[in-house]
Amino acid sequence: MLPNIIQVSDSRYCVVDGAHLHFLRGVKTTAEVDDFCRRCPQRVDDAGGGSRAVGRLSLFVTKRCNLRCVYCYADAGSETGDASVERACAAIKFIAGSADEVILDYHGGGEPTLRFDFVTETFDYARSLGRPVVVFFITNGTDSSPRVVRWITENVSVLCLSLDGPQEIHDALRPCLGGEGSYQRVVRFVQAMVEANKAFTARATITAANVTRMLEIIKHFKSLGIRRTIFEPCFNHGRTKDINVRPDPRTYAENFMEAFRFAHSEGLVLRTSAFRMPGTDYYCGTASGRNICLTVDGWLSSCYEVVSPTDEAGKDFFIGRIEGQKVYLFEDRVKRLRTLRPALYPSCGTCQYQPLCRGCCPIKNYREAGFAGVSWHLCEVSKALFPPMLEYLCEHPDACYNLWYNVSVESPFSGPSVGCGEARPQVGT
Amino acid sequence: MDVVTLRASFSVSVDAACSSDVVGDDDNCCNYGPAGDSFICGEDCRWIKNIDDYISESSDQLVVLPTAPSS
Repeated sequence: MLPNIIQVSDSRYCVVDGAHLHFLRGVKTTAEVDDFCRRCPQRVDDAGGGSRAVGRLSLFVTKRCNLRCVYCYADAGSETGDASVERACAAIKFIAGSADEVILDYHGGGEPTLRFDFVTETFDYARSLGRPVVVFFITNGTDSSPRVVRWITENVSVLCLSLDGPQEIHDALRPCLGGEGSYQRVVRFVQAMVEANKAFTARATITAANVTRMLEIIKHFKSLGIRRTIFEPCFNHGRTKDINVRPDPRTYAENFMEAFRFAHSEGLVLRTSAFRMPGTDYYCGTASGRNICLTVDGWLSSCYEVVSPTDEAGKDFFIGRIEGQKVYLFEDRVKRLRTLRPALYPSCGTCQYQPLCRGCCPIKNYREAGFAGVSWHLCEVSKALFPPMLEYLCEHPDACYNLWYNVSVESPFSGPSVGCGEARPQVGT
Repeated sequence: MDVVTLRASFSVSVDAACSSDVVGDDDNCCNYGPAGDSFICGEDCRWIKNIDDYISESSDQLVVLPTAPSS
């Protein structure tokens, strides 16, 4: 596989070589770039094959929610229903199978803490299988009761909290079921996590209403003790399928860069799914077969955003079902999803940014443009963000630590090995 | 011309020795590595199983249907 070349400016180029991103600075002629690529090892993404297998299962806990976020993709609360503990345990038993370790990902879209007994019962069951269990947990942060706080601080490894900004912004976007704001409740949860020295990521959904306030938001988060943030551009679906709340792509990019410069200067982590570590493989586990999500109704979905049997996308993204103790997998759907690779998208043509967007989010593409289509909006967000971000990283390579968790800066071709014990800049801790 | 290289380590750690690097790794969007959720963590290499792995293991629990039911 040949390296991909991206021109950043007249004298700067970016070369994507597997999971390596090379910035070439002070380039005088394109022949220099060509020569670099000829010497490049032409690595491919590592697709696994290590010594320890991890089984990962995402669990949707309930359709109920105590908030009515204006943009909720799941339109949570419009339907009722809770997941079955027995069915979840059957799925856990299957996923654990021959795995050396298990990741349980308790997902939002329906608020997991509303059924905390489900969470603890399924976690205890997974642990009873005798393997290490790692918990990912997503919450709206409205429950800061001692029981919930204690369990999360003791058992959750990867915690994500939805918080959209200062009170005025957050309450407008994430009101409670009764219409009152939820900010004060969420801040109590933040305080509990900060006091417990529990690392977490605050996820702010960026809409047309708060897109120009990203710098203000991250400054506010810093004042609350939040060190890790993700600014996720909103998409029209679920509760907003008939109205437009998406941020303008160029405005999103400009304001993200302003906030990112602040994050870099303050040693904060600021991420966006619109700019992920480059690669040549799938955008996410939806197409690679590594997303296995159990919906409340017993479907196995390949995508976190396709969880309702009334969602038309289910006919492509539901890849199986749990019935009793049996796990049914639909082989044709699994194989079809594997075709979702950016190089195969006709509309991507020769776009130089393919190794950066990697085809972008399959379900958002699907909802806007059909199977193997490309979302105009996401594409515009990416194309607006890539040039300034690449330029900034080219100028400040250490800022990669503020954008990604798992990267290192090294010399080309012969850098240091990267491992757990390696010293890293202290950001986001 | 000078060159700076950023290298993905893929590491989403799942053990205590590494957790300080990764706790807080977010969100709901599978940011667990450039290869669609596979990852390596130092010398103790880990990888997330995909559906093919489960199918090849042919567990007693598993029934593979060539085509999804029409309903």
